[in-house]
Amino acid sequence: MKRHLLATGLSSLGLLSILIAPASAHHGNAAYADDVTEFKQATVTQFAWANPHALIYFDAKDAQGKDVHMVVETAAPQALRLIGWEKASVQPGDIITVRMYVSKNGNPAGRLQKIILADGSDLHDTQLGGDEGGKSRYDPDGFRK
Amino acid sequence: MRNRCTSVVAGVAGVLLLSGLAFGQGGTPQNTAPRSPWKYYPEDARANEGPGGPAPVRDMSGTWAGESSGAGVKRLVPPERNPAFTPLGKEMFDKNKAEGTGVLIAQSNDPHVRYCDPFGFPRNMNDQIRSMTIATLPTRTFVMLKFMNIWREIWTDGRALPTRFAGRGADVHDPIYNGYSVGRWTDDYTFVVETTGMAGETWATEGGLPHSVDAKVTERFNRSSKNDLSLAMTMDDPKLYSKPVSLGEVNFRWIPSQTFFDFTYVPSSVQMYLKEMADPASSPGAAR
Amino acid sequence: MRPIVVALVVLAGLATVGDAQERLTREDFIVEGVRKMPNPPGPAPARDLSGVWVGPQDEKDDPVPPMTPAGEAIFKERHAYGDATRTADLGMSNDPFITCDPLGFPRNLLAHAVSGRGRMIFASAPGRLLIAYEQQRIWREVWTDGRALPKAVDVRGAPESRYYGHSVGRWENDNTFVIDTTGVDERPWLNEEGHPRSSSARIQERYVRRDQYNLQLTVTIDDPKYYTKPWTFMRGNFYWVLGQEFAETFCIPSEAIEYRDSLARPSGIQAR
Repeated sequence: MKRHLLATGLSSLGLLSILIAPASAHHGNAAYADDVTEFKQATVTQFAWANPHALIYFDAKDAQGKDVHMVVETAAPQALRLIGWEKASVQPGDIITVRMYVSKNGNPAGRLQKIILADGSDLHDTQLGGDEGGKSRYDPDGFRK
Repeated sequence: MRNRCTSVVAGVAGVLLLSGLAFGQGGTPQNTAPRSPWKYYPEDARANEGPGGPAPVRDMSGTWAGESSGAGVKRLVPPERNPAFTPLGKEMFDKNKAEGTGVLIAQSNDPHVRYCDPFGFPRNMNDQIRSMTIATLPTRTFVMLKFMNIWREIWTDGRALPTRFAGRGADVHDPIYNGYSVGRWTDDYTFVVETTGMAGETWATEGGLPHSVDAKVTERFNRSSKNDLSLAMTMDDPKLYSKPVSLGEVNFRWIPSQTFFDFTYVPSSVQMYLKEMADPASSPGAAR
Repeated sequence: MRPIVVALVVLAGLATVGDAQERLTREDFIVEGVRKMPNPPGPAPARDLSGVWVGPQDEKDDPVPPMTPAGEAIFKERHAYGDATRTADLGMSNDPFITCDPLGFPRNLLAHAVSGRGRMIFASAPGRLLIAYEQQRIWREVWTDGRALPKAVDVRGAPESRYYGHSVGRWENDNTFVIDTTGVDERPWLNEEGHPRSSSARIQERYVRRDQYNLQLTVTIDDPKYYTKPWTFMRGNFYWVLGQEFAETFCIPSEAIEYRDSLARPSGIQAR
């Protein structure tokens, strides 16, 4: 799968809305931007339901309308299952909205905040899955790590 | 698809023996979908509150939910982070770059994180210890870990631990990832295991505490009720530590359905993750 | 003269250091590395598989039947280690076991890399038979509580496919234990050649305890998605292990990758 460097920087990513929120440090996530970038109408090309982290590969368009091929990581399956994910939650061909903290170094990658499925339901990351943004954690009752 | 487990109506301990219907439609809320006996429902495990009855005598058999299992298990006590090192112990510890604050995955030399090498013992009892199944035979007890599907063997036939792990001779034992374990009941509810001979390339904890092959680890399993099992671990390794090290305390709860998630860790998936995500994310200007 | 020379070589090869060590001959072994029990076997105990077993020996497998187009398509993408004849590319193997990926079921029954000497032990937990294997130190769970196998996997609400599948088992008579498995993850290879198996495959193991020391295993596969007919994947014997112990056997990914990168590839050994 071809990858495109995001030469024009974070602001070129879209179809966007960028939410500015206070930064929250977390080990391993220092590599990602402090605010959320949203991709609407993203087409899933692959869903790797695997350790150490599940990966969603998707195609979307940037603010200039150019194709971008992205990969976003989320937590491990054993953590995601506790907050409603399944291996079959996402399939190639699904059209979803992806909200993510993109990589600071311009790579077409990042850490998930959440996805919104076609039926309107959402699935969150754990470490950065909080709806408050600013790399907040998603930690419903009964779930840890 | 629901996005929160908390709104699930607590299920009962019994499990419906369904044949695992295929659900073509998406978004069926988990709390109203028919239960499959092949799936673990953490909300059902959480609903199984309280002691559940007295502890059976000298019996830990069955499948247990541990840390981060969604079963509402009491939080563990982590291993010591700053034990009393000997100079050699400190030297070895400083070489271990555990992924954590200030150390990204790309910078770590944790063989598990970089390669998916097995944890080895004792780390496999204090890291990713989300579930285990204990099975008892006349002369040995098995601890069958869900993480990576690896099992440990604890001999209960009264044998002594081996003492030699280097050199030549019939009594020399190879260091191995799980070490050599012997166990005994010290009373009707406490099972004590001692292990030595763990291969030195493994880490004792996620935080990178080292151990020598001569380290001796003691585990105290205590079953306080039908539903409760606890495990406290200490490591005595005079070469590397000037006094015994606490490797923490883990709590377990009985799972009524006796089923847990599958929990694999596949080397090729790890290599793909490092190549696609972790290493590029840590490299300024690195192109994927 | 030659047989005597051969016998002497065998004896010399098997002799061990130390006056107290017994001298062993070929007759002391079932196959290489598998010691024969000192006494003849007694009758099979009823409904009892307990013990440590080693095998398979005397393996007689049926040839793999013709595949469906879907099966062929997968098989074509797999390049078995050491076989440079089937592929159009560099002939480099992409066997996932090269980097120590789990063998999966039923490939783990073939006791990869320790032919004829793979050990297993049976244990139990509530409602289950447990099987612990020497290879990669993995264990399987076989439910004996009468449940049905899952009808589907990897669809919403259904269980996930697993490397070692979902298994149920029952005693068919006092000497025969039957295990049925389905829902295997499709990534592992079926065998060393790289044949596929689907998550809907039904794989049956029949363990027949012939006597105290011999356990016959027959494995059949019914996988209409990838094969045109069912077949016997494996027939072999497992023998009782003298001393009832076995070593820890791991495939360590870091070691496997180092081997691949520092030796196999530079040497031209076909490992991708």
